[in-house]
Amino acid sequence: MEYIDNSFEAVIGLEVHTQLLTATKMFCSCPNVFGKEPNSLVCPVCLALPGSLPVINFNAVKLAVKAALAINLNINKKSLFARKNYFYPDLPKGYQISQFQDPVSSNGYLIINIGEGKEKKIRINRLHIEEDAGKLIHAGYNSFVDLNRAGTPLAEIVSEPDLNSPAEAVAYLKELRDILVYLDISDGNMEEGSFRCDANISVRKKGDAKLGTRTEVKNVNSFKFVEKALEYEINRQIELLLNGGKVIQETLLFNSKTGKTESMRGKEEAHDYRYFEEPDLSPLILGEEFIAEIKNSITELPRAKRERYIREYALSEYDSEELTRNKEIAYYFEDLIKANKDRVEIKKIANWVINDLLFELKTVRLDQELGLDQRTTLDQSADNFEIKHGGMIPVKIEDFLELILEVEAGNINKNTGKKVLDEMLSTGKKAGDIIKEKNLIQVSDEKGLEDTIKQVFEENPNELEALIDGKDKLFGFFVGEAMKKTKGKANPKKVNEILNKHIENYKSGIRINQEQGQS
Amino acid sequence: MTSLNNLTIHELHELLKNKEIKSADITNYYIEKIKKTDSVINSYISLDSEGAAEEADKADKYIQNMLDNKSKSNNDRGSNYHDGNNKNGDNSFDENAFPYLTGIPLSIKDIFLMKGKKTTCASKILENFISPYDSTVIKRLKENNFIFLGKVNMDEFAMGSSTENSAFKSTKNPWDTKRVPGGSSGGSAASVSADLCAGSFGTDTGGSIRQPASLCGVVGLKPTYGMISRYGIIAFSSSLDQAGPVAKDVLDSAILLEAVSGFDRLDSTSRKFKIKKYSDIVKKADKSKIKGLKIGIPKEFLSEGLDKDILSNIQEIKNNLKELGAEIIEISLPDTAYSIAAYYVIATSEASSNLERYDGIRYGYRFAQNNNNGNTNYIDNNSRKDVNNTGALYNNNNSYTAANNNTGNSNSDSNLDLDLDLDLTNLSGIDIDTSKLKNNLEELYSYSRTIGFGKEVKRRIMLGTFALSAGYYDAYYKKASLIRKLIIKNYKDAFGKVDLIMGPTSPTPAFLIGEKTDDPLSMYLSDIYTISVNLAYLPAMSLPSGLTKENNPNGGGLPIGLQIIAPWCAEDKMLETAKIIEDIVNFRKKFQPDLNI
Repeated sequence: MEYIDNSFEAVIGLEVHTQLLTATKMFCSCPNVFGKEPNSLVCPVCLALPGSLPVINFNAVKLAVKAALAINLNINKKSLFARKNYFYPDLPKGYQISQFQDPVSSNGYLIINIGEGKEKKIRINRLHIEEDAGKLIHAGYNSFVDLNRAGTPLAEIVSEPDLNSPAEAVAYLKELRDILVYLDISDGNMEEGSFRCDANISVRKKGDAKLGTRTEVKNVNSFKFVEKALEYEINRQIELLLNGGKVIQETLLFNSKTGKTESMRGKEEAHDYRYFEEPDLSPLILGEEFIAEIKNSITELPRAKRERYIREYALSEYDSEELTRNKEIAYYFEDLIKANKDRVEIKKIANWVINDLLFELKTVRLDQELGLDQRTTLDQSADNFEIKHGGMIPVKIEDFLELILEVEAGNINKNTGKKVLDEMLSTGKKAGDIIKEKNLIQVSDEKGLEDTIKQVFEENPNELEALIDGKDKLFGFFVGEAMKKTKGKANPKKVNEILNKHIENYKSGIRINQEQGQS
Repeated sequence: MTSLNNLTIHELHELLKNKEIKSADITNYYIEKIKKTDSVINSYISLDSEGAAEEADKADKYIQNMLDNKSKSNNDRGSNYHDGNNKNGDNSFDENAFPYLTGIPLSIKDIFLMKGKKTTCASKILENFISPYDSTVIKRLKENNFIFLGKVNMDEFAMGSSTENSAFKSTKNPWDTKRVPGGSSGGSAASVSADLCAGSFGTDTGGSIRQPASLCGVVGLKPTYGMISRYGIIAFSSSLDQAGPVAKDVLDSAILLEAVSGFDRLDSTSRKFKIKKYSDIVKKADKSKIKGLKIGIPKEFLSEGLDKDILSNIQEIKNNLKELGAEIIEISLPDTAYSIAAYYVIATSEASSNLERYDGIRYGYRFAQNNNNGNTNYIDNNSRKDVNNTGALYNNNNSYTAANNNTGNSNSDSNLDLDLDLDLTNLSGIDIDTSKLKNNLEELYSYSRTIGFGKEVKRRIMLGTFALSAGYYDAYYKKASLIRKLIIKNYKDAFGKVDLIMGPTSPTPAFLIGEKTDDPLSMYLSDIYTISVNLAYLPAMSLPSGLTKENNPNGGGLPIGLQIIAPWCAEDKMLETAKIIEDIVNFRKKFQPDLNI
């Protein structure tokens, strides 16, 4: 990372808020769902009507403990809920139920990649449980309060200031999000606000032991913005110091339109949250068994999987990453390898999954979700396909393997294979049946292909002339025409061979028919 | 017709059971009496005569139906009479089908939420708040087919010991209308004492049931913390609040207690205690049970400041119990002196947070100014037709009004059909210079709360906010929590030696209205004997044990309350002993307030 003066270094700590994927809210039985009519998912508890009381959602506790264990935190068998008091229209009770002293977990770490094959250990101070606030919508002179989100379970994950660049911050966030999504703890959706980040930033001269004054940048809602906001803020602080100024401790908001950070409130306006133990809830006591059960439910995490794929399957870092990004895909791939029993090279199976299955799934997703006729693909949608697809890959392991084997055996060519896969996804039929039904068996017999190519030459005399004259680009044109004539069934390898042979012959002045006549 | 004058719940129940009276008659008796005398006593904030009459008719039909079925089944049983399988006596009822409270009219402290009814907590800020749900206590009373007469007065948000802190009116003590009924459940105690209901429910955070019961000559019981669900009871101090009955006698308080006690999953601090059939225990109470009972009297409770008549009354009862074979032991609760200080830190801290929800945003009173014409309007969220309880909104610029109003030159509230009966002349000394208003969110908060809350509530919010502030937390809140632990230990040690603790409920009989309003500290001291019980989560009750002498300088002919404190969850022993003392004192038969109205 290049700053305006590279004798400085940045010190960054991140606070991540992630909504937990529970059926109901943290302290009441209202559904935990995004995007419903404003104030339709509320009750006396999340509206903070007089007399209402909170009741802990134990599924939220389970998910929080699971997340904590996955990032190597110690689970505290006794933890306390506390009230964080402040007035704001989106906070119905006038306080947020959170954890302050004695959080549910503390002292963990996360290993991140920092490029060039290097890793870095980022210490995590704590993960604690709390509830989300509602939302304010400002329209002209009016402000509206939507309390559907009020009371949604959150885990707050606080890192130590161990990150030293915007890139490291993003790597940390991605690693963290992958884990949370993998374990069905969060949907990791930054746009909908279910995965949010506040950053604490300071700068100091390289080599200085003392930390500089920090600022806090709030609610940056994409990885790109995190990088931009941090970059801007680091440079702003360096510039300030270079000009003899001082960094003031304050809370900033990132303006994604200007790419700048703007002051929200200074230290003197900082809230005194008057934390104290929540008297409406008993201390949270977690038994050994409860913790052990959750520990056992944690499956292999993406990092471990990636490393294993490289080690055991000899896959590239890129391939491993693609395959492990989504849990369902990874498990699907592993099942394929098992069923394959070493018949097909693992790298080839990986390619099928990455290049074909994922592509088709994204396309299918769009067709079904948006009812679109055209088959477009969105880059980022792969990350979310799992949720949109209901966590299902609509092709059975053995069916997909059958398709791969058909191609490997040369019964159909790779392009036909893709079409068959498409058909499989939309109809649920098996590869063999589709190939039979549509008569897609690859045309490999020499005589037939010779005739086809001859026909193509006759239909395109000018192009042929040009090709013979050395316009090599036209070779592809003839391959394409031949494929068209066979409705794509021709064995492309054979077509190439035959075409090559004839062009060479032409070039050396021998015509096919002459040759034929001679024979 | 049988005279209904001053009957208990169990007496009324017998009459209903024997078809001597109808619930409608009882209900009508109370309604009429309230209409006649409550203009003096001022115990009711809202009276629900129509609803009560309706419910009474329903209860009568229910009772009729059940009695018919019973006589039928008795006839059936009659035919089998000789086979010896008739386990129940002929006159026994299925108590589950005909609970004590069926058809019995009760008053309810205006702190319990009841669906469709106003719940004000005696505060301007909730003056027009209509509850959309039932508190667990009300839900359980409804399951018992009780009759809801109305909501009774209290100190605003249960903060006070005299009911003078009500935003609406000051309740009078039926024994002497120049005097306070005590508080905060003063309306409950006065309505029971003046026979304006069969019984009542109140709440007790530091003595708010026991002290008014003592001052009004009725029985008040504060159960073990966690025994009665707090769900739907407006919170003052969550770790201290506990609901309980105010009743005419010990058996009634047992009946009321058992009807609403028990675990509630909606209150995480409610406990899975085994709820006993307290009414049976009280009915079976016998003087022989006193023999060998160890009763502790804390020397700290008989200290300076205790009225001499109350002191001699305690001595008298002590001697009575001794005669019956009780062992009276002087004990010490050495940290009692710190309990008031600890209490006022913990209670106000929790209150400062519990009362943050009254912010004028979603419901309740809201201050608003329309900048365009300079008029200051007082909007009550609950009288707004366009905004229901969930349609929260506010205006971030000039006027805090509905979304579709045109903030032009007209009064933007004119389309809202507002109940603007709150005006600038009635703000109890709050002076707002409307020309200096900035019309921002902070003003909405601060003026809604400044106007909406009364003096004592604001005093306590400020105390609590201060105690929890950064830099003060350790010195106040944390220290108070440590003292609370000491007090718990004091009691634990004491109950290692004795079965029950006995002492006065209040250091003085009912004081004069206005006597302590300017001296909050002396007001706080009136709870000196009750407060530590809440800090220790223990059950305790006050029962009338005599009257002060006519020449008493603190007031003559006024009721004295005896307090019994029991170990955690020992309500059974407490009620049994109370019943025996009640029989010895025979207070109700000897003394009644002379209403003369």
